[in-house]
Amino acid sequence: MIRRDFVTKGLGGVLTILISRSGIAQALTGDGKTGDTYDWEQHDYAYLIDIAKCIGCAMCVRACKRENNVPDNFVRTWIERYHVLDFNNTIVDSSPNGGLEGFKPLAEGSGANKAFFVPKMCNHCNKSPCEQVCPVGAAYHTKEGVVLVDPKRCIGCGYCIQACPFGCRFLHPTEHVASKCTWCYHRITKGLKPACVLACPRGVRQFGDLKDPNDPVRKILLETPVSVLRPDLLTEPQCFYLHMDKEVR
Amino acid sequence: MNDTKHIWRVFLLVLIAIAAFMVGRLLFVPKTFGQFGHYRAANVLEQRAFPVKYQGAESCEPCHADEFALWKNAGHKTIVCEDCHAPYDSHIKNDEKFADMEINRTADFCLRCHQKLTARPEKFPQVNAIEHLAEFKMELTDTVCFKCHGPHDPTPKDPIDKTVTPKTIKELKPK
Repeated sequence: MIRRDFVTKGLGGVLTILISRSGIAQALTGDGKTGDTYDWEQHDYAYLIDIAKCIGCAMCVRACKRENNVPDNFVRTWIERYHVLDFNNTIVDSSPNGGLEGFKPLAEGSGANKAFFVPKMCNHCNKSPCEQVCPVGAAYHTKEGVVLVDPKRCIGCGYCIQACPFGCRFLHPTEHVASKCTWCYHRITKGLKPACVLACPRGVRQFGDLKDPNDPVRKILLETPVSVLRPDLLTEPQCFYLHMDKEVR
Repeated sequence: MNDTKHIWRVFLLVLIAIAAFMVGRLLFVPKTFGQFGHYRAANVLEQRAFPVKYQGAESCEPCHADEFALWKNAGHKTIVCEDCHAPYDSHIKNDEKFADMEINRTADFCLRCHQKLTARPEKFPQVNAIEHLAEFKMELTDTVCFKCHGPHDPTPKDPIDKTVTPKTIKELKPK
């Protein structure tokens, strides 16, 4: 019953807000008038992935698909498997479908010196190339540091898909707009974890708030050596990795 | 002076152009565009309104207390119910069951996590399914894992297949 009340009141609130322009600023900072106390200025999110723990079950990929209605043959998060055989000889596979159905033993990779799984997703870069190239202001950054796509603004030109160095965006096959990971914006703004974090059985994926002084992810980022994908590109990714090998790209 | 006439004409044209621009802007630029940046602020609220589907294990407890208790105290406790089943919203609508919950009993599904793979952390419990089953004189069939391992509590139980007795498990797997 509480949830139903929450949903009906929330939706009603959202509708009333949509009518008035000034109402949006109030709704986003959560002044309480709409029943939603979430204030987007009070959060700064970050994501942490521990490669050493990942077993490649891809429950995250499965949960993301279902939570966000991701269309067939596309993924918003995926798992890559690395088999390092020798210097300059690494096999990377993500088959099939980003690991959606799990991984099977790889015959060619059996002689690997080291092997590991790397979960990947939108890095929600602070200086995101995808936003910079968007000609219509459809790709944008919320105040919490989440990169989102406005499907009503997007014209489906695909510049952002080309601009993303991490291959995190795709053109939605039926809506014909760019689509990507939102860090489950609809969940995190309600105090829930992203679906992939909830689904991960190994605690590989963690979601944190850098503005919360007691946040465990904030603590790890401050006290432990972490790395990001392609730091040479200066995009300032907000997905951080623990135990990342040099072969990961 | 005839020249002033020309100036007025130019002035009028510029004025019309500015007015046309203003009207065009009003018509084509969405209402909340640019309020916080180069985007439509209303979309932030639209994104928030997207329905939540995964509700977490606690949402299952009220109706499935027995399974919840079994799961909570056993080796699979880090796997949320909805991982092996399906999201809450595919089973419950308006606090009422409207469809059966998906149940994955296939060995294939168990092996997503437990198939022996070189890329998996060594300490994680994983088996070569065929070899593991051969130890107990079993073959890889669709639901074979559940003969000894419960999904909620995976600790090996007496096999339902009576040809394999607990004694032989001990003999075969000394530890």
